[in-house]
Amino acid sequence: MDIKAINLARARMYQFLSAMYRDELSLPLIQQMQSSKFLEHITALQKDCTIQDFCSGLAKMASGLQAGTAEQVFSELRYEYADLFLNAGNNPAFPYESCYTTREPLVMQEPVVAIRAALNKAGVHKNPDYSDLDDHIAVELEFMRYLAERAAYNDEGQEQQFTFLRNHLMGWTVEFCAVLASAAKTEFYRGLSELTMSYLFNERMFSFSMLSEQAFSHDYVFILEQMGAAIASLDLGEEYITIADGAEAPDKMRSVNSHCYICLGLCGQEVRVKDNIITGCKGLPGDPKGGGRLCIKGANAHNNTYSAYRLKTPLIKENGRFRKASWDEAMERTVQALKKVDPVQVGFHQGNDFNMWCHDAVMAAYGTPNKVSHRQMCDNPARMANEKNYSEKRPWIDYANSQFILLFGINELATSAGQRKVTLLKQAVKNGAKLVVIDPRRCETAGIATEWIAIKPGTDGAMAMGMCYVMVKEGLYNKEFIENWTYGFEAFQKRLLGQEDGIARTPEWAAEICGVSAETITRLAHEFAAAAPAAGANSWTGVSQGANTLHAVQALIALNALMGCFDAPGGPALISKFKLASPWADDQPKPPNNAAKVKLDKGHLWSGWIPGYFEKDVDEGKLKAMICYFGNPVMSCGNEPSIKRAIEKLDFSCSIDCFMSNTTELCDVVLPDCTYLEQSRVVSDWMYEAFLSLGQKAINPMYQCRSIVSIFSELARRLGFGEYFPWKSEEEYMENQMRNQAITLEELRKVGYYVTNEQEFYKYKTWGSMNPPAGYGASGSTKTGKYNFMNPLAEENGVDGLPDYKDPWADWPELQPDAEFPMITGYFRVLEHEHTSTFWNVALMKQCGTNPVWINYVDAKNLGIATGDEVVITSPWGEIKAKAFVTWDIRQGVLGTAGGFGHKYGLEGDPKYPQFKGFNTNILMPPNVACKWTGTPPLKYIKTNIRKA
Amino acid sequence: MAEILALDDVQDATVLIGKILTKKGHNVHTFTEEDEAIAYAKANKVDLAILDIKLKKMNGIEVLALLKTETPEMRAIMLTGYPTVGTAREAISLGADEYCVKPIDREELEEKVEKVLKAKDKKSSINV
Repeated sequence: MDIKAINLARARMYQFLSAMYRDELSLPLIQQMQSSKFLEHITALQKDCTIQDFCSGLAKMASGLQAGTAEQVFSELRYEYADLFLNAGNNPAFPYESCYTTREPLVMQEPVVAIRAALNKAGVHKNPDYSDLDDHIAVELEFMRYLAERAAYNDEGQEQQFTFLRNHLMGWTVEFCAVLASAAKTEFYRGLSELTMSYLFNERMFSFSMLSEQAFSHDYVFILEQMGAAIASLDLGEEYITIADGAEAPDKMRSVNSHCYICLGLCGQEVRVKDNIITGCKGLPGDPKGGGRLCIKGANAHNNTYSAYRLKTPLIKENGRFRKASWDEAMERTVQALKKVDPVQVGFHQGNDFNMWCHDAVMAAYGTPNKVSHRQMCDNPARMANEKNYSEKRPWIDYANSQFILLFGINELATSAGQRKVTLLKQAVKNGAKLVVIDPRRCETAGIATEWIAIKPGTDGAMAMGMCYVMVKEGLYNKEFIENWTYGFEAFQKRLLGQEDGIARTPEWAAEICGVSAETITRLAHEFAAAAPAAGANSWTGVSQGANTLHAVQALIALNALMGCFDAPGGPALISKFKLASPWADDQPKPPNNAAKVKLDKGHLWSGWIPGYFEKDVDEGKLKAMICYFGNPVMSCGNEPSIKRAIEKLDFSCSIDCFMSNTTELCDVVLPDCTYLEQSRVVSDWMYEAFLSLGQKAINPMYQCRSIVSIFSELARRLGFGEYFPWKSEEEYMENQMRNQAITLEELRKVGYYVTNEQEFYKYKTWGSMNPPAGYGASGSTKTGKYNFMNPLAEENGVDGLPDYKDPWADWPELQPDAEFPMITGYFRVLEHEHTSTFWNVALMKQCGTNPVWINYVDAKNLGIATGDEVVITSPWGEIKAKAFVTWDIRQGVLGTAGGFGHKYGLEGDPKYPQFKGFNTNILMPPNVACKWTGTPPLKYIKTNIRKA
Repeated sequence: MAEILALDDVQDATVLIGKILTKKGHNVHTFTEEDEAIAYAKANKVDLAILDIKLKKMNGIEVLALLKTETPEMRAIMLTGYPTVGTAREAISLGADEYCVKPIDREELEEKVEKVLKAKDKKSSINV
């Protein structure tokens, strides 16, 4: 062979390898590879080839190809392709150079910039029709083909290709091939890894020979001849697939003013983008929510977008395994399944409210009444209390002016770390405000508090009632506010004083229940009253995810009402957001709401789909199918094995998600979602001020992912409701939403936020009601216009609507701890993670990659447990293993651990990264249990025992 | 300037590595015998080990495992004339930072040594 022939043969070999990696192998190509022509050449090569690894790889590939009929091999290889390269499996072989510079699962890193420069220098660019990334191995291999062909036809020097080979392919493919060989289950892909590594090393030797003008290996030339002939029998075509002609200059650096959505907190975020690559995220100066700061999650939000575990194409399950599908096929499969089932038997699990108006409208038009959102799992007791008793689910306290801050089960420093209110809270404490944190664990917020009260789990209501008793009994309450702005005080007073049932809710009564002394309860009541109205009490999931806590939330919020603290400087603020207009223009038809007025599950206050009852609902034939958007019900809704069984028993399930998860893996169809940085929305938000918050697309959707509006609009079109979802671009509906605002979308884009109303105090006096005026929204409303001590919905339903303490096990006796299971176990939230959604993000996992179980020093000593010991935690419903963390910072009798862990995919599930591993406390929960009042599962009240493994 | 240990069963190769890296200002300690290299690493600070995979009594992967047990934070570059998927898997699992192909290319060796030494964090080891 002369040098031209050698270069052409090298080009064919690169083309062949590129074709093996760039997509799943097509059936015709497999048929050609099974043909006698191709196999004859390979057999001939194997007979005389002296390059051992090359032959070994080839033999394995041939064996894989001959393992069955073309159809059988095709099916097997497409399942494997989905597992290895599309992240359907838990041990993917990331085909990107970026992943090997640090051996971390991150794409779009420095190598992409270098690849783009190399392509640009050669007068080509990555073909935009190829939806995968610039540093995909198929692109690099095809670029080598391009350079080899150019050398052959144009008699050009070889330096450029050898430099590229050395600087790129040789720098990472050794590791890639090792990972592929380790992860692959088929002979074909194991062989391909050996063949690739061997070929590239021989190419390197060839480059040495060429550059030093020495003779090159005859063995290598023999391989090229034989492989060239074999490849010629395949119809690989002449065209380039992954690269296209023409140099493309890189785009300049730009800033996108947006809002972070990694924790749904919506802090202002400035996203730096160069050449459609996000280079970093920082706080957006002046933004009301974040005040120019981001927490660690927000600063690493782009590492979710660039996680190498992203889903890239639609997937369809076949024979229990996933394979790649086109959007058309996956959508059609979903729509046909939805058409077969009665919409009242379909559940829509919505873990994300990004452009919720759209997916809500599509599923309502389709006709399903069964929607689960974040609220049922999160803090529905608080919402059902606060949204009915006044107007908002959570009254953020005006920390800047507060003198006394009482937080029950709300760890602001972890859950809202980036938000401006946390800066204000820290500042208030520094300036002398008293912060009292009620939590069985010394959480981060308790760490800066003046006082930490390690209360018994699930008893916050008793402590709050004891404080209320003191205020009422001693006449400390704000009589003017009670008289003019509350409803139900007399009934509440009777309960507190024991005139209703003979049990006065005294501090002594409370102390017996909650383990906090009567003196402390009395003192705190006095201190709160003395500081009022510059005082506030608030709670979150630490209370709400206990059991039976609706009345507890009412009791602790009643402290604010008794002292007239609402909307006072330093008190809990009343929220009002200036509403956006409809996404539908005045002349656009609105979609019908075809959802039947039926409720899947009925509680005392909350009715609808209660996801804690998922398996029961499926077993009773009430649910047959599920659409799940950005949710992970298996890990979050209740007993994990029970929810898993429920989904497995459904006739059909479809998940729309960015990642394969414990839920997604169970679904029949998986649609790849965009992260928030790849799509846009506008919302009205509030953080003392009312403001417009823009979530602005920073980069184009990656791979074949689509925005949620485009996915649901397409679903609507196929379901016959396309006319109601007509928008061709994000701008169309956002401009509609902005048509009642003082600024345009274009103006909002420049800044990212717009304050519609500055902070005001005692707004209700101006409004004449605790509800915001027309044009403004909050998440609830009070039908009396006042603060209701008596929950109006409970009153309507004829159930107890007054604040109180109720035993956590009142409705579920099996929850009560006993001699065999004396410990109460629950999870807590950590700064580094957001529920179950950040466990594919290596930057965050490196900060918090496992979840040891916290146990009090005394309990540990009694049980012979030391920090680092492996322990077994058992409940009547499940058992898990964990590592112990022995500490004084948790109450005796309580076990706690960081939530969100226990993934089968992503960094926890990937055997390449064994250092990341944790467990999910929900495995220990009872199945089919939820609060009978509000539907929230008792995620933080699980009776257990613990022993050294 | 770093303390570099170079181990290759071919003395010429160790001499070449020594020359290249000494010129870059590093202290290079060269060995052709595995036990001598291991003994040296036990008694002295080593920032980076450059290990040939094919040695006399042991292979470079075994030496890497021993050295990593002593000094987990030590960086490592593996040298090989012809790597196999099997040796690559072992080396990566043991935390080798880079691979260099023989014959040694001066520019490549210089670049990789600099890259490995300058990297803020050691590359993650991955189980493959």
